[in-house]
Amino acid sequence: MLHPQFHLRSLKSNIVQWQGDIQPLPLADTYVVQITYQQYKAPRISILSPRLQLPAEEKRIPHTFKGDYLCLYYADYGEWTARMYVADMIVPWISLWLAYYETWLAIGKWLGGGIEHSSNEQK
Amino acid sequence: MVVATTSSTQLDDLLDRISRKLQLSETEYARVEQSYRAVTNWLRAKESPIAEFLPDIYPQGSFRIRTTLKPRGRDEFDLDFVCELQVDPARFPDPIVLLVMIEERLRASGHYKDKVTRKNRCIRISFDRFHLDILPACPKPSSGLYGEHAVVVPDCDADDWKPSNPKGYAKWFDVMAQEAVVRFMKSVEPLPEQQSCDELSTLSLGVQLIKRNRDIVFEKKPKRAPISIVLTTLAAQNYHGQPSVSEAIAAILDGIVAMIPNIANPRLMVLNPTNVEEDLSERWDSAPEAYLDFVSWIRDFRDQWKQLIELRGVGIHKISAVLERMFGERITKEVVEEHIRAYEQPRQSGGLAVERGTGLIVPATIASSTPIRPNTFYGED
Repeated sequence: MLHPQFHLRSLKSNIVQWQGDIQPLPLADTYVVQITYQQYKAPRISILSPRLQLPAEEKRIPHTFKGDYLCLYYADYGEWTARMYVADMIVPWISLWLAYYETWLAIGKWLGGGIEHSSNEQK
Repeated sequence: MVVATTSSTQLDDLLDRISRKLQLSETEYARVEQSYRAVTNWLRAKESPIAEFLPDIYPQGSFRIRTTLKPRGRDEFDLDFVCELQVDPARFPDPIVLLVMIEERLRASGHYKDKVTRKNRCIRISFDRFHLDILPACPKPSSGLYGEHAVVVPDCDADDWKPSNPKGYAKWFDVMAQEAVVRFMKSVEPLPEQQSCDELSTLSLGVQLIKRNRDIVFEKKPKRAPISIVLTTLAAQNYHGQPSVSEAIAAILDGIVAMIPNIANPRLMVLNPTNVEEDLSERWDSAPEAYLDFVSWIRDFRDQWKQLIELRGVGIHKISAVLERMFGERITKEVVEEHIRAYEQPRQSGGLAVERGTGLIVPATIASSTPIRPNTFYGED
């Protein structure tokens, strides 16, 4: 198993939900992560705990969808297609996201690059 | 080392970066060296009235032992130097006479004359980002440690000579920094990760950070702050060779706290290792409240340090907040940014992976890890 810390939480007809812990950096916190995927749809990643913080001076958490689902890749770049294995691609990207998220809390800058909103300007 | 895989190596990297930012950079060190060698050449030139004394300028204090600290709120470093003249001090019972001879020779130079100021017992040459504070000295070997290097320098009132040994002190400090490491390495099995062969010893980095915290805590009451030579000496005496700067500081602070007597009187005394007749901490005699401030500061710092190194898995943002309070907000944020930005190169070249079971970001060379493929974070409102 690629990521043994993830356990299967539920399995309905075409929806699978995994849950597991990730600690992205030695000094970082440990996050309980939930990955939900429905066949043929993009996986949804949420952080169950600790709750994602929004510092007072910020409007939103970078690189998230509404509902605080993490946004890990840009579909137009072909970084993900439904045929790829979740564990292989997604879990490492969650670690990376969490590392940049904590750094953003520390210094107020998102250092992980990426594209924000529907504008195509690179950060 | 870019990708830290343990708490202490990641913390040490942050501390290392903070300490280096507070120092003169390597290029600046080189520029300072060029400057004082040029001054020496001018003083030794055959037209120089003091050439017969074979003036030799060498660094003392923090420049010599690599613990220079950018003063808060200012941009220039004050660097201490000695100008040793081969002459019997008995020929010049008034040190000011020699001081003036140096000053006059410097003022005879078109290059230096506008940069020279006379201070109480030294001559200051002001450059762009640093001052060279040059103290005259005459050789006077002693029976103390490294006594062959001992000199006399002007005392505080500058009307008499007093014993000093800047070369000897620096040698002592270097030995404390290096020998402790050798002893430590011999006693540890298996050997820890090799320290980089660096000019900056762990002891120097630790002293830097301790001095910096002192500057922050005593910012509003600088006259009560313990002087650097006292802190440097105490640190060297309590360093036991740990290659990790966080562990070194823990041992140093624990050691200093243990040296403090339970009662205020007699107080802790810090003697010059090269001259045990000299009490480096004598100012505490006339300023007992400064001694008490020192004691409460060092105890607080030790307690905070203990808490810091015992923190596990609380979050980069929380560690950063602690470091900001200890060493300064701006410098800590810059260092955190640099530390995380250093992941970018291995990230782009496929050098990062996550460890199975924990999700820890590790070098891709580690077995049982899953590579992090290239990605572009996205997101929309």
